[in-house]
Amino acid sequence: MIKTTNVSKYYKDGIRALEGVSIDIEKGEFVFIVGPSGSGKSTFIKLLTKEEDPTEGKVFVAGKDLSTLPGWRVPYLRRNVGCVFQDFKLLPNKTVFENVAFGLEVIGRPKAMVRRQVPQILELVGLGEKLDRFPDELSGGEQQRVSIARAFVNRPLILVADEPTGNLDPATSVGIMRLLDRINRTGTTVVMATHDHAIVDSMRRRVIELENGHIVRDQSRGIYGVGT
Amino acid sequence: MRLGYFVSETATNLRRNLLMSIAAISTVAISLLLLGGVQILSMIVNNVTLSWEARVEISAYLRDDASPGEIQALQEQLSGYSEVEDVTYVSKTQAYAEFKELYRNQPEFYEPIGPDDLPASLRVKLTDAGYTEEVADRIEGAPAVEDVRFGGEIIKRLLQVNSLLRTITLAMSLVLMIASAALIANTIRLAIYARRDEIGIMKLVGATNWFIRIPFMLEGVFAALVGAIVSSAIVVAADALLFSRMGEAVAFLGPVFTFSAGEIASVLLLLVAVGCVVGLVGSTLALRRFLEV
Repeated sequence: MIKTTNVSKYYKDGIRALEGVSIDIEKGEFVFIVGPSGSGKSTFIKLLTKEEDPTEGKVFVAGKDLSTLPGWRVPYLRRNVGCVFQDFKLLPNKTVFENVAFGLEVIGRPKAMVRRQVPQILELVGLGEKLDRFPDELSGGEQQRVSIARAFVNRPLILVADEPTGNLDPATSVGIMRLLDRINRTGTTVVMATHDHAIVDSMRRRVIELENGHIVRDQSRGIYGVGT
Repeated sequence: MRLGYFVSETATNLRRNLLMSIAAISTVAISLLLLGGVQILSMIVNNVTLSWEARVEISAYLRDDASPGEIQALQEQLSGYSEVEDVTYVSKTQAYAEFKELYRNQPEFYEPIGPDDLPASLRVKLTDAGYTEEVADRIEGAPAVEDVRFGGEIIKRLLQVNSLLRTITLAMSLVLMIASAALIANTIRLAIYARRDEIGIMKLVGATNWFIRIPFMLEGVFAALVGAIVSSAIVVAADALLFSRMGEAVAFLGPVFTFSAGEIASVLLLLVAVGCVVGLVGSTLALRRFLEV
């Protein structure tokens, strides 16, 4: 589902974000990308949606070589890769329903489909009662659920999450992880960058650890790390 | 459904930056009005030229000592030219009568002179004003002729003034058009800035670039189109109210201020077309950087 071969990313200012990273992620896997700040986690996530291009090496997502993917195809790639962020990225002037519907409308999905799928997905993330609330009327955890609903409403093959629990307290984080786990069980590949020890340790899933742009560990059913 | 989406997005953008939109619309209107003015000006000059050309005659003033035989011969010779429609003999008496008629309100002009002071002449009417100089040259050499006059100089002068005016006004309207494209670009940039979060999310969830761009392009074209309509309305109003009155005031010049519906329509079409181009250029300028992402 996701494959990188010897990928390096050097930014213009000389920062070597990734060096020689080769990762193979199967369909339906749940993978944590862990490591300290600046280890290259976010850069790796950005390669998957072609927000950044690697300086060297190749990235394959859903069977497509992203280096040869023309610019106009990128939107179609992104429809297969749902994204969740630390800061939720919700539109404050739209209700919960509208925020999720927006994700479908702007890729040209018909109204009938929007009306059918949005309440369904909001039910799934546990916000079936809060369709008409605005983001600032919700707790952080609820806002993150809306953002996950938006990323997942289009049923992407892959869900990538960059520090989705970074702004949430531990109890709320557990709820979010349960939700991501549920989404993973529907067959969706989940890639999550995090430095939240407790979560990684409790989930016992594959862990890829980055340090200074290098893979220092790739372990199935791993924990965050020894001595960190 | 998509159309509805684009229209409502465009409307929201325009409303959010109402002041900028108004500024952009009015610059477009002013620059197009100048352009329309240029067009109408050249239509007026065209009308003037036509009505002058219709009246262009060559006056061949005859020597006082020319014999009736010589005059007769010249008249027949001229009538023989294929470019010549008609030749009339104007005697000294007739010339004086016309002179008196022309200055009937200023007796001090005609009182001191008599019929003998004015030359007799042959008036040559041509089938086409284009032959004026050619025919005039031929008449010049005839022995009975003292001097040849025709209205060509005035027309030439008029056309020169017209082309100068055209150049100046076109340059001004070009500058204003660039300014309006820049203002439109700025309006759109503000709209993009106001919606940068939404655009970010649209890119994130996989909206195509055209889907994102179209509302902004529509905004630019719409602003320019409103400007074009405003300037078109002013042109139509000027035609209906102003030019008809000016035409009456200078009726002796012929139908100088009278334009056919087709002529007015072509001006309006030009304004709308140029307006659309200005809007598209402005939008493209604003979106260029944004296209690269």
